[in-house]
Amino acid sequence: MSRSPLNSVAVLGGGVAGWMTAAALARVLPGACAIRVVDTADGAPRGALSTLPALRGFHGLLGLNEPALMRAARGTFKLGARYSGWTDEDHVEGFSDAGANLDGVAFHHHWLRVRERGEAGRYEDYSLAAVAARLGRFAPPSEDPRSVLSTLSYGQHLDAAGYVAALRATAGRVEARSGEIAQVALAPDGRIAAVILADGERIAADLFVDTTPDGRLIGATPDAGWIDESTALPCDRLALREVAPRANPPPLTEFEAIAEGWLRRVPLRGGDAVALAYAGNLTSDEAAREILGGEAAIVRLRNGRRERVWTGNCVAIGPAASQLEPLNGDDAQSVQSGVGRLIALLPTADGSPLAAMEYNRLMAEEHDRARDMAVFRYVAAARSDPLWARSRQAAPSPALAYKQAQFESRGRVVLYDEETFVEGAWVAAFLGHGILPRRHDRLADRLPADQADAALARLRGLIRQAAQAMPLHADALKDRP
Amino acid sequence: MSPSPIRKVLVLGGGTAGWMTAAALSKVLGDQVEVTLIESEQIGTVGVGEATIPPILTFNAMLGIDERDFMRATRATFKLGIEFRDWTRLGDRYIHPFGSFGLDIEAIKFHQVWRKVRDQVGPLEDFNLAAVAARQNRFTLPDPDPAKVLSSLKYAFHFDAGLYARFLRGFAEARGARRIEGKVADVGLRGEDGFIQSVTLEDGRTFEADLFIDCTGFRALLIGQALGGRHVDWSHWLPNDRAVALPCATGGDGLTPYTRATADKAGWRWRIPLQHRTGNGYVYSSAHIGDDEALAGLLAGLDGPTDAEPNFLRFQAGRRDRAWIKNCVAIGLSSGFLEPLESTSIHLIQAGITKLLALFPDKGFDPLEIDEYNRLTALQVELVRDFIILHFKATERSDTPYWDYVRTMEIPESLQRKIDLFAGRGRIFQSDYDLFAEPSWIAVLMGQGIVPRQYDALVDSLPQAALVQRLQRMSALIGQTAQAMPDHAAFIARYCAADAAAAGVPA
Repeated sequence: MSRSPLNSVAVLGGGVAGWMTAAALARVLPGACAIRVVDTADGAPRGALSTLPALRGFHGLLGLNEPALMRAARGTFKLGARYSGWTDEDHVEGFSDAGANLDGVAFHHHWLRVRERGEAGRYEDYSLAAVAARLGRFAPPSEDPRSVLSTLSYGQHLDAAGYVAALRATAGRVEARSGEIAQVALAPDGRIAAVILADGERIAADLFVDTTPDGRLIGATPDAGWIDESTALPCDRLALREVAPRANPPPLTEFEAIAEGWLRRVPLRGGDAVALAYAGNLTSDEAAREILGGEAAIVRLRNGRRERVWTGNCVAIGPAASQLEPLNGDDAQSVQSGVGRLIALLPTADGSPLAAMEYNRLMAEEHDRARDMAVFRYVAAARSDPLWARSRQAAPSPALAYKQAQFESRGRVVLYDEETFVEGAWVAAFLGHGILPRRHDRLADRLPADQADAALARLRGLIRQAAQAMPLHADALKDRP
Repeated sequence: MSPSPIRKVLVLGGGTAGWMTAAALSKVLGDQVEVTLIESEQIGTVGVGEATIPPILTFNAMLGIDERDFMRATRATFKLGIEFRDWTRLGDRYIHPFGSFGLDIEAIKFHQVWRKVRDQVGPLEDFNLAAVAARQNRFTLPDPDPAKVLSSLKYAFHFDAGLYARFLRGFAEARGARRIEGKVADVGLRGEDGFIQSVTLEDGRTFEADLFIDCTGFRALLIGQALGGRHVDWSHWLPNDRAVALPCATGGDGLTPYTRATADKAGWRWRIPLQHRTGNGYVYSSAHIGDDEALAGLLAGLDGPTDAEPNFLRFQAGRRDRAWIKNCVAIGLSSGFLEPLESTSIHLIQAGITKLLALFPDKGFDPLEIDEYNRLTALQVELVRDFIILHFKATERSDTPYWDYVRTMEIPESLQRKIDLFAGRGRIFQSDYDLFAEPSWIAVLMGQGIVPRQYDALVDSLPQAALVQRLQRMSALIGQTAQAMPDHAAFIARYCAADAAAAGVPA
């Protein structure tokens, strides 16, 4: 049995998924392994990315320098996301957990208790990231664990085209060309023998990574399948447009629910990238452009995932593997973990079916948990317009139903394996979207009530003060060009 | 309006499980609930010499227990891991130590790097401080400075479980827990919903409570007999169903800072050194060996004289289908049994208590929260089960029908997947619920002869000569750190020696 190392990898599609993959593989694969990227026209990067703090770790591994990246991708800072129009009150989900554990009990139980007794303010008032974001202010986290600034964490808003350019620049040894896929030639065993381009070039490789927007390669292999999630997540189109910048854009991604779907505004240097997510059979492209106030690029969206994202010698990463309305502000997360796991489970030239099986299990699990977060936002929306009513015809997954029921009962957060969003993020989403537990944890009651009241009032004041002392986001961007 | 809070908790049974529960409840909820524990001097407890794992430190810290007081009171010694003898094949031995192996390099797992250059750098054990120290019978406390190698040391204890229960009894009673002596004659259920209303003792006294904790061990008086909770049987994977326990005088290798588990003809023998004596036992399958032969096997392996009576125990591997039914929570052996091969008995008690505190009910007893308790309990115990099965499955032994059976038996799919992934290229993915982290799986998989056929291709991106040097430095540093540690027995004598007269040992 031959166990030869991987000699060649071909990445088809390009774009954010393709170049994140190529840049990471170029970093870790031995020099003897050739890496090629074929940029297809439909893979070209469009619009903006609203990312999680974890992506910065990925950049660290690539050796991608942050100021350079921010310049190339017209980047701005992101402290969280604001949701308006979903329920009666808008809310911010910030990148620092609200409050702190008191007496070994999670903070939100203390908040619930103080709230039952009187004035506790909003839950987000205890998250420095959320408070600063609302005030349009930004500062980098402090290294000093005693400083309240050490609770901060931040993500980035990036222009997709600029981001791809920065990734390309780090992937020196990758050989790239543009081209269109004419044919995917399968071997009798279902593996991909070669990809034939429109100009006749035949691309052969030990491993093919499909980063096309529609999964041209993975879709051609047997067994990839597709699980459709378009009932619970009803938007199948995105209209993209850029509008004039604001004087001091808040370090936030804004998500506004409207009758036709939802609007997203991502601040970039020199302009705001806005997107409208809508359903093609309820809203015309024309009407979508009108809502956005002018010309807009229309992109198709197909919510769901492959049954298997790795079959034979083909791994799908990005939209070829799974698609989700970009409603969580976790853009590029599934690509990052797709690449990370591919590296952790790197196959040999003759394939590793066991590794593929494990990869498929982990990626499916991770997608489903992130999907639950997006579906939850529809479930919790207090809207009755046709699109919103339609989304609620789908039953939430058992995992989500159980998670929500547990939270409603006593504020307990059930976390499954492979969650993108951990406890603090779920608590902020639940409480922000108006899901209040019926009771708080009894253990919170050990703290005398007046002490709890005082501790929360003090914390709120401290956070507000710290946020007000931070520079305006626009100034922070100027200082870190 | 939410239902009214629990006011009265009744713990039935006073072994390790009962007193750990009573101590935790009285510490955490003492001013809100009234804790009563009923036990009988006439009913023996299973507790023998117990070995624990590092999370016990968290439990003791939650109670605010002073380590030295606790160690003196329970005649405790330190534990750095378990030595497994004769498991893979006769004459083989390896240590499953606490803590991890080496350091990852450029985000590549250490075991992958080691797998590539192992012929040049020596055994995996050389890269774990606890293992190296254990081999030399050395111990000291970890250094709080994270820059020091010694900060990575993880430890737990060997102690006398009966004395631990007694120690916690004092703790709980000082915080208001009430102890009642007596044997239960009857359990009263409420007519309308079948909840437990009260227990009546043989002398006629009746005790009511809102919440009942069943710590009655294998008898499962409340959860099983009164509420009909069923036992989920795992004996096809874990055929051992008997044990015989017998303490002896300290001898042999003396106060080893590790537990020893020696595979035998139809099961395995434990050796747990305490300050004043050594705990021993033979866990076996009654289908493969008789009680007398097992006792003879145990006696033959003792490393000191004994005048104690052998204590025979019966059990069946498995778990209660639900650990929480209505207003009754089973903690300890009443909720399930796994043989103590990886010292998990006390930990599973602790995990039950932690979950109970996190999901502490009110009189409404929300079924949703009970479901969550049961879901988490099942997940945790099944992961432990898989880990234990691994020890029996991954063997080359074919010297007795017992080993033929366990070597060739079908195992749970979840475990088979783990073994296959590791055997290929050393892949390992940890579940968030798994009590045993990656290094533990690696130690036992490798220890039992499952060495990955290949290493991760990414290792080839690191220059080999530099790697070898780096690993050699790592093991040298670990070796030096271990060398500088004092002898375990000497450390105990200085740190936490039990009062000699009370312990019955010569000064």
